[in-house]
Amino acid sequence: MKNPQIVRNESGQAVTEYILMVATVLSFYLILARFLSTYGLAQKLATPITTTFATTYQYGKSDVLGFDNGGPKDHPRALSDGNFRIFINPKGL
Amino acid sequence: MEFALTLMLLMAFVFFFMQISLIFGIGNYVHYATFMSARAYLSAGSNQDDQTTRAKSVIISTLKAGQTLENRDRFPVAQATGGSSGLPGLDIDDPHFQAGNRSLSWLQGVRYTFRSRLFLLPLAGKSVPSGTNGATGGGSSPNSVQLTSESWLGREPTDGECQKQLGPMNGIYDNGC
Repeated sequence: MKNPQIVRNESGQAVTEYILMVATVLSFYLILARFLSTYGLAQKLATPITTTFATTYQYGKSDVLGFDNGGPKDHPRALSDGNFRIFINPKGL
Repeated sequence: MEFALTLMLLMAFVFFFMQISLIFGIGNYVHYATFMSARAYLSAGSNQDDQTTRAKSVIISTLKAGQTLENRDRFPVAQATGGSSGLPGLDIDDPHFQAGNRSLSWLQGVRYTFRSRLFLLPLAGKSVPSGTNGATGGGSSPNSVQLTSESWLGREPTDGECQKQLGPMNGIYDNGC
């Protein structure tokens, strides 16, 4: 005599639940990936490196413009237009 | 699967911070290499080619894979970009340098430019035109940062230049001016 529970064959429930869960996780991941791209989160994370740090690395101060990018402005070694300064302090004074 | 997806996202951020640490470390080393190269360029020599060759030699020994592999970077994290001296990344003298102009005569020395990837995954979106995302760090992609190290130490006159300048004046010179 067959077991009535086996006859009803409920083993598909786990698979269905797993598929639903994976679909939910995948949707969440896709939404997150789109959020990163749309709002430029990674770009915002990188901006201090690509701008402020890069300028400080080259000139020693974050808001300096060199000859290659429209300056010189506040350049520590340029002589023209009041650019010359002996010391640079963080407050820009 | 959810573990793989989460891990991928988290590892992207972990590698981002590791990459920044590497860039900071190698950036300091590039400053040192540029300064040493500028020192080699500064010292007097028989002619300017001799001084330039010395500057290149220092960069090759510090930042390139070897004397015979001068187009290959020693550190793959810092990829040389640009360069007008025949060596990737290296510029001898700024293009604005003018010997007779006091405002521009100090732009003599060595400059080294390199580029590093920030994200191992393309999280930061598509490429943008060069120079639109920052003063110095502008580049072709927001996924990377371009750094420039400069050392304007100047250049001593060569023997040939000494003879040319001081010869007609009956000046005294030995192995320099």
